[in-house]
Amino acid sequence: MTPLRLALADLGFDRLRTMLSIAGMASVIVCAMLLGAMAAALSDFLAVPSTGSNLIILDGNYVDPSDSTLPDEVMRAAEALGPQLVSRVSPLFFRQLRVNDRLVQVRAAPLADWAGAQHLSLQSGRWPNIGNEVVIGEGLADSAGWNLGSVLIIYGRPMTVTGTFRSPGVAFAAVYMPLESARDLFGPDRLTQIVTVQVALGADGETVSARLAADPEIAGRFVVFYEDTYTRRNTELLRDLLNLMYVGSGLALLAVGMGAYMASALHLAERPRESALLRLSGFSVAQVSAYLLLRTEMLAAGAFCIGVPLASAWMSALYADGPAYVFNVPIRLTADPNRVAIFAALTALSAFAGALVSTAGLLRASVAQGLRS
Amino acid sequence: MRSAMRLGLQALLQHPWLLIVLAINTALPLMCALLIGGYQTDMLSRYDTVNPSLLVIQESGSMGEFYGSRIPSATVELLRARGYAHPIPEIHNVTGATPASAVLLRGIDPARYQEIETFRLLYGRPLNANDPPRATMIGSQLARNRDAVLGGPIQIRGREFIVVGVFETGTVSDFEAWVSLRDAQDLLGWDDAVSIFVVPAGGSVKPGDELPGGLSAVERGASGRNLTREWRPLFDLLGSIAGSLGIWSALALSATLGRLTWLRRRDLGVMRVVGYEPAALAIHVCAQGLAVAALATLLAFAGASAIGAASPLQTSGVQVRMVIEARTVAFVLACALGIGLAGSVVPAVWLARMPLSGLVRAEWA
Repeated sequence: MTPLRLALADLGFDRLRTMLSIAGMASVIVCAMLLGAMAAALSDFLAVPSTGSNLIILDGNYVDPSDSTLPDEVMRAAEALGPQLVSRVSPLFFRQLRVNDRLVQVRAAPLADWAGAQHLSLQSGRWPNIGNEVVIGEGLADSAGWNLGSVLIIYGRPMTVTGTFRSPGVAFAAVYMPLESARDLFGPDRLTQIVTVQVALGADGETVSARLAADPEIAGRFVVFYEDTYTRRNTELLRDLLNLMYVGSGLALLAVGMGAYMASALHLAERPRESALLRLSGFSVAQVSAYLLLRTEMLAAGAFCIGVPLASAWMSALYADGPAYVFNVPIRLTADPNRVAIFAALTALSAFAGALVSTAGLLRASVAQGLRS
Repeated sequence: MRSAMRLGLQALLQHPWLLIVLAINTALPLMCALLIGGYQTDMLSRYDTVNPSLLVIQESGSMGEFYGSRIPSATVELLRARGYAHPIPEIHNVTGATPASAVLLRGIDPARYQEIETFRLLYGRPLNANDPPRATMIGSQLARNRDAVLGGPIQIRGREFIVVGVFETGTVSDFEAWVSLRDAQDLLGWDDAVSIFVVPAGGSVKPGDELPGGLSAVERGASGRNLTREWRPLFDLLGSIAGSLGIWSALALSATLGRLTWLRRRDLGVMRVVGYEPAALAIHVCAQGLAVAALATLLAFAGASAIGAASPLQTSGVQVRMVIEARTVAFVLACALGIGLAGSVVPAVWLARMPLSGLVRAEWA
């Protein structure tokens, strides 16, 4: 009888015990997957899709741009670089405001710049007219339950949602309105917090950035960033959270190994004589060890087969009402096939390590000791 | 009873590694509960400090007590017309080149800020109207983070200020640098603009009222409360994961104790023979479950303290640390007790209901 057949026969012999072992290990697999999925959701968000070589100019002395104001000279300095280097220069109005009891980014830019410089693509409805109309990011539509026709109170004024848009980066959870509407609503002062500079095709972003940074209207007063760099710089809090999630997920995976250790250790404690008899009947120590390791791996595989659907079902249940949003970041847990494969490998490894530790004693004990027990 | 408990613990100690692994397994949900509770405690105590006796007039919808509100000083005339004789102006801003180097700046009226803010002075003296420019009093957390000392300099937005006092409020203000309103306006280039006006509640303006010029009134501390709301979905999510981990830990404990009990069924049968009641055997198992839970609790506190100390959540000049308070401790102890008892009850009931003949016969089955 091979170690594999022996392991299968053993697991089938006492099904209740097998089920209990599998249930115990499945529990931690579910938790490891949930925490891992949360870490992955944050990690995916932090790996912001590239917005090309777009540059932004802002006041570097403010952590939140809402309080800053860029004078028109900054825009003119960017435009002065010419069409060979810069294809479009776009002012962006930026505020973090409570809208209908949610903290959201309210942005405004000239309508002509939305598709190009601001990377917005219409997902549903239509772009807003100048006046009391806005569009919202798909993330915000999901999280807040706002739809076409919803009325948002922005700065004390009712504004109607006419469409939803899709956008990379944090703007996906923003409210956008035409710059003219923002001027009417917020007044003509402090209308530009960020200037977006779209680098011309074929032009070198680094050169444009250096030229802008050296401009007398900008140097020493404002800073030039790649848009991606700036977004990543402001996600420090999320990185802290991400680290905590990784720690939690790692601990849960450690618990898989512990579950494997417990399953093997209890098995050895329950059947010391049977293990010794196996060796007496011609099984080598290596074969008995292989049988025990295979047995544990099978338990882990069974637990994984139960744990993954359970975790997926849990994730689906959590998002029955849409993803959770933390500071406008969507925490949407998904059982991505690649991550499931990684978890499968880590589970197998963890179970192997746990079983190896518990069976190490078997390698040291003699047959006589086993029989005596 | 006591001897039954002692025998139970002795039986458990015969499998020391199993005990340790079981305890670590049980410690995981408890540690999660401690971390979640600890971070939430610090966040709520620092940020959720609404003072309903004061109103803040700010840009509508903004987080004026942190950033994002900039209103003209002429607003004071509007408020006087509404019956407020002495509105107190403040500036709130987050300054710094990066989130890591950010400082929460508060511009105050040196002659009147003590009317609306209470604090405990740790070192030095309060800021007063006669102070020269570039004097600041800073919160204890900011002093600690920046290694700032009394009489020494601290950089705020690239300028050097002299620390005249270090205060503590137990709120987010402990991360702030307070400077005179004039210094703050100069520093930010705001001319005579301010962030907010503070007025007493109970007057003609009510919380939620919209005022001309895009202004609105909120309770003092509303910005902090709104910020804590943004965190709630995360804590709810983590709480549900920790809860599930707890349930499964109890199941794993139950399965393991059940198998240990099965292993020792003949010994337990012998205990019944020598006069132990079925209830004593149940206590025997419960003692094992509670011992695992007790060890798990110790491990959870040690683990959570280590992780909490190493992993403060920080952004834009503020930190959220893990703070363990009595309520969290009580909750975690209750969870530990719950897991210990829930993990013991099935094997204990099974054992108590098992006839003596079944226990003894099983050895030869």
